[in-house]
Amino acid sequence: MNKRHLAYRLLALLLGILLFYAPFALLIKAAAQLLESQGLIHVAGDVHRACLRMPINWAFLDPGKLIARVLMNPLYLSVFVLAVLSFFLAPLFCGWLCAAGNIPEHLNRLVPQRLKLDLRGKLDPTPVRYGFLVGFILSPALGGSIACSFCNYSQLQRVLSAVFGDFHALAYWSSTAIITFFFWFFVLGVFLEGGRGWCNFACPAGALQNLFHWLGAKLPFTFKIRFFKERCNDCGKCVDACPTWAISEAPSSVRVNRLICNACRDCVATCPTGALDYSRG
Amino acid sequence: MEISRQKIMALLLFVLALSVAVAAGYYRESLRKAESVHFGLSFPMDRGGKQVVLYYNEQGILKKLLQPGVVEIGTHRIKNAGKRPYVVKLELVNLSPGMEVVWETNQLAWDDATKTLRRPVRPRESFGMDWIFYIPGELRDEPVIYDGGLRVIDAETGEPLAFLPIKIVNRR
Repeated sequence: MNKRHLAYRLLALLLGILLFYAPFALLIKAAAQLLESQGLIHVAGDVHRACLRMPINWAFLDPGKLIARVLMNPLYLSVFVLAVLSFFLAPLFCGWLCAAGNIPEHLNRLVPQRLKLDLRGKLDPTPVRYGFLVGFILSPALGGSIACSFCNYSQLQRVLSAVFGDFHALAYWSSTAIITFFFWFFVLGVFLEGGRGWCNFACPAGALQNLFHWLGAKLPFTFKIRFFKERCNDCGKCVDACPTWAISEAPSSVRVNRLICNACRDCVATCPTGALDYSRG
Repeated sequence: MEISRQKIMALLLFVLALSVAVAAGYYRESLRKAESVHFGLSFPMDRGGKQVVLYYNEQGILKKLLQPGVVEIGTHRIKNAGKRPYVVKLELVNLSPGMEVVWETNQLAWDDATKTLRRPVRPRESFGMDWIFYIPGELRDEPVIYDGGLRVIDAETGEPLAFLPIKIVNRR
């Protein structure tokens, strides 16, 4: 892959950590300063303050609770702001800033190919992703909420806190935290082709953003990955480069799955003929 | 024919993934009283009316294998239900010798040395606290591992504001 593109993505990953994760959490802390009157100033800033999971449950099952929580902490609107941005710009947060998705993906590049489970082209992630999203939304009403207990952002926060000196963050592991870490980081992360298995199959925030992107991409003024058939030489490099398996080969063409694509632009950076582009149209 | 096969496969995957998410919720719920018990407590009101019980021997297999002897009891809702602000001090009573407890909170004003929140909690405001209990090996098979509770105290006057009984037991 184009080294400059990879460097940009790694810089974006670093920015994602600095903005959302303790001990930095610059965006969260800046919001806390602005929202001093709401009491957010009293709590330590970490990724939980801008939870991308619970508000999805509240929105569908208990809108009153969502409103009450947002009045206390407007950062709970983050997932819906990201969804609206995805409508116009594609899910750039997922592809560029989300550390929980990007870290397994980048570490995956270091793992020898023979050690990776390769389901690209064999398993369509779309029905799995949206089945899980519906299950995630319904789970509090049917069995029990999985928003916190199976949260990969939370696991990453614990690890980052420990890396930066707060070893108490790793003091307690529940069964669900162990399962989440194992699947998010290892099985669906560094040892699955592309490293984006958790995003593809089990991330409700990503699924919601892609749903909005899928709708927005139908309009001519929105940004998306676009394919120019006349420039394509059928080399297939974009298919292999896509970490989310969003690009598939079609006769003399390729197809971009808007319900999976996170606009990381690896395909654009890999294409030798400029047949793919991130632009309006 | 091929398209309908793809559609059936997509439908099956959709239902399977939905079921996995719902089953994960059931699994989490089955462990709720064994690994990580959460509760709400209001002060200056609750004076022992309810009890928090954690069933230590009903932890999940992964937890038993990878991290036995460590359980969490916590709350996001220690709430000032009174009419004036309070500076509160918390106390876990009747801890067994050798049982270490780590106190975890996101409150910036928390003083871990004195177990006091060094700012007034306003009426209707709540805050969270987690306690990670390290249960020593010799206590893990006892019928009652911990029988104590959480006391909320007015740090300025020393007056008790609330008490919540907490038990960690092995259910036979």
